[in-house]
Amino acid sequence: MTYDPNVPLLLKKEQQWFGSILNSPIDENNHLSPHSPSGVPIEIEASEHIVPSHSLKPHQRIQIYAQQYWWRMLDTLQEDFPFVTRLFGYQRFNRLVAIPYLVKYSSRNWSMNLIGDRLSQWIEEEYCGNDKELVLKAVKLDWAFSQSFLAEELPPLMQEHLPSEESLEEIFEQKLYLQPHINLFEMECDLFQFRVELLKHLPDYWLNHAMPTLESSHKRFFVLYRNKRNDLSWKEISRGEYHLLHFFQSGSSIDKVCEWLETQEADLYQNAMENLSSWFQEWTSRGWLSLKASG
Amino acid sequence: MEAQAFELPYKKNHMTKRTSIPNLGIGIGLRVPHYEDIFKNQPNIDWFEIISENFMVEGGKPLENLHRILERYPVVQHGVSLAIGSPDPLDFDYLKKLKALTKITKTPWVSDHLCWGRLPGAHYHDLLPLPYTKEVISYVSERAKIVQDYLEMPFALENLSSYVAYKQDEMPEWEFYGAVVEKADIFMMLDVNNIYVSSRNHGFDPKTYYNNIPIDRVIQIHLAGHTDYDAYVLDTHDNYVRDDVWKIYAEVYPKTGGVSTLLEWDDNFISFQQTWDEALKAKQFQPAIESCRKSSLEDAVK
Repeated sequence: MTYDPNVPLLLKKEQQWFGSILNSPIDENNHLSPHSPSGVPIEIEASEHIVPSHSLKPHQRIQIYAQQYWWRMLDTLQEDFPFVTRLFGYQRFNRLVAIPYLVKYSSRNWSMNLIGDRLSQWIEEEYCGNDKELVLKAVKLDWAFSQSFLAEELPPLMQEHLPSEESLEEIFEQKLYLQPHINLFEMECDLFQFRVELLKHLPDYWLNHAMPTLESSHKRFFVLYRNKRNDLSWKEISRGEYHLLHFFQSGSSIDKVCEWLETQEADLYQNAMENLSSWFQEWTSRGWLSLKASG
Repeated sequence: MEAQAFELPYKKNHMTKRTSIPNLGIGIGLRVPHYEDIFKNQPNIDWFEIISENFMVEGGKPLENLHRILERYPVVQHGVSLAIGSPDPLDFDYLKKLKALTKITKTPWVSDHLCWGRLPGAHYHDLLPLPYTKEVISYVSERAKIVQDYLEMPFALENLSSYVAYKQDEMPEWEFYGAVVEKADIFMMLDVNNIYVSSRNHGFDPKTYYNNIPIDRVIQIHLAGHTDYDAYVLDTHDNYVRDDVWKIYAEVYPKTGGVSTLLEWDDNFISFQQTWDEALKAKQFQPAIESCRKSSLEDAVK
């Protein structure tokens, strides 16, 4: 929270005031609050900073910026969280989620892609609805979609990079990393399919129509990834694949993974040992693993 | 007019600066709804302008698409997030990414806006107007100079469409704009639609604006559509260029000696061909200096 030591004092004060007006949500009629954040009638306070035009009073002039700011930010959050928006409908999403979130957590990065980077944190801290668990999962899923789309692509480990069978031990000892665009999910229902169904209609459609049934069952595991055409895709995976891929997310050697497997229950160990070779082949053919760490 | 004009001592000393900067001809802003058409038909466009931030990402489709565009077209980078007049220090993480992108695009110059847009800890993602004071000229021009030096390429600032004027303004916008670019020794990206929009919102004559800026600093012109709400005019980029704006372009373009011209269209999209047809209307205002463009292009190729 630092200022440029050379910023003129009057400029800084003007900008702080302007920012305080933008940070205050506009009402349902898109008007500024009648009082400024410092409690002064907005008409009076705005006229201390801004001159009127031939047709607009000072507060009406800055209101144009407040409207643009809020409309832009709300649009962006609706675009980045389409699943969440459909759980609420446009108006309720804005009122219950987006506006209070933006009031607490202003955008802290130049990139508009990161406006929602603390929405899951906000849901955990502030959201009180009965559907909190579902909303939180929806936020995390939408966020994964949006971040996966733009994530880095590390040089993939390909079949042809693998050493010959005689020297296969080399690769067992090397640290492998999961591509940054890969996200792993553990859930008790198929939220991916549920999301697909909801996205078939505009958000407000679901205000008057029953949502598809979301059936809970046993634990299920999914991977969200970018395919070779850079399109987002996902698939259900086994518990073993999920755990092993998790290891590679923070970097791990196959040797370490095997050591961990040996400490696990028999089912998981057995399944992994039987399938490790084919999983590994699939992961390398999809380019999911890399010898290079992100950044 | 809402502020008193005053003479700047360095205003008389400016020199022609853009001799080495190519006139790329007529371009349009590269936007996602047009990708399919562009990749399929490979239209004969002089150049595309990209919003830098859309491609300052780690990977994925945006960069893949950019590389496909670069295979065939010259690309110029235009930014929206530098927020050069903000009160916090320049963001060198941002500038590093911006510079890295220039290495990919080979852009001949980089532009952004003469505005502010953030406070420490809060980004407004908007182009907010600055107070037009001598102090702010010094502050912004120093930072603009640093940006141009850091990027190691020509850097231009664009005039805004604005909806407020501050009580503390000491001069009109054109004097402020001219003073910043001259003091920083940078360039102008002149948006003629923004001149019109601001002239309506603040009540000045557009001619006064473009007759009182160092026009030889202009290296690119922006055209766009706006929305007229009577009480004010909003810069919406969602419509055809209005006749009043074409009139300004017709007068400004010859004064520049011929510079790259670009149509921005960002909402309520029409087809690619319709967008290009709209941009091509600019040609009817620039026949006298067509030869100038050709020689510049040849120089650029060399």
